[in-house]
Amino acid sequence: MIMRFLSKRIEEVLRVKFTPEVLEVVNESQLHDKGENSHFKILIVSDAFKNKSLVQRHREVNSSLKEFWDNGVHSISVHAKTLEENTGRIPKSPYCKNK
Amino acid sequence: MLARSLWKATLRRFSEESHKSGPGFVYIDTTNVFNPIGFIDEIVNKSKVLLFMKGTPESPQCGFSNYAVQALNYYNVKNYSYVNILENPTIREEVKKYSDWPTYPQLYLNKEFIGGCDILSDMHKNGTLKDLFEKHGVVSKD
Repeated sequence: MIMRFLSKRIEEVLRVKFTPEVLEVVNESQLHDKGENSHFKILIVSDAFKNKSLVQRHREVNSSLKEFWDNGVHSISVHAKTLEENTGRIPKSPYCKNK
Repeated sequence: MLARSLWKATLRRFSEESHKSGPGFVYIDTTNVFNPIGFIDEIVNKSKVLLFMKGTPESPQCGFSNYAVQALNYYNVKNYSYVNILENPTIREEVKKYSDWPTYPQLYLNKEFIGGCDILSDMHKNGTLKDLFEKHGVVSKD
């Protein structure tokens, strides 16, 4: 699998599955030491998450991205909200490099 | 000579071990696990608060794991058990399957899977994390 433009490809998969109102996929691999396409942060706002627990939402996002997990992605940070819950702010991820 | 090096190794392990548990957290040794799934099931069922993390609470090896430790400290959750998943690669992979969760850290409260760093962070920001810990009765009075 070609690893280029991974953020865009992740975005496409999530758009199809969740038809989100807001979607941001950020490649955070530069904060870590595991390669160029290892760490991503996702903010996804969709009413597909209504009445679902945080764990359920996270699991659904993870399973929709299964092909990426199987191909070298090491960590995906997920912030999944419904329209009502969305504050518009993207949470900052912990810094990990050189650990 | 073999006996001497074995003895030295034992001494070294003993002194390392003494740093692994500390005030507020209890180390679960996973270096010699023969039945990983049974072991994981047992510790999940026996622990009030169980954190699977990278590194130790005194020396986390990952920013996400560090966040989880800080969250437990912030809400005064004491005497939690932890597993350093860097210690045993088999346990590291088996816990992911057991929890159906691909990353670390992973927090369990009273056998219930709570989630990882993102979930703890979202709950902390919207004020529900305090309620969760109180509901599970894991907040220390002192």
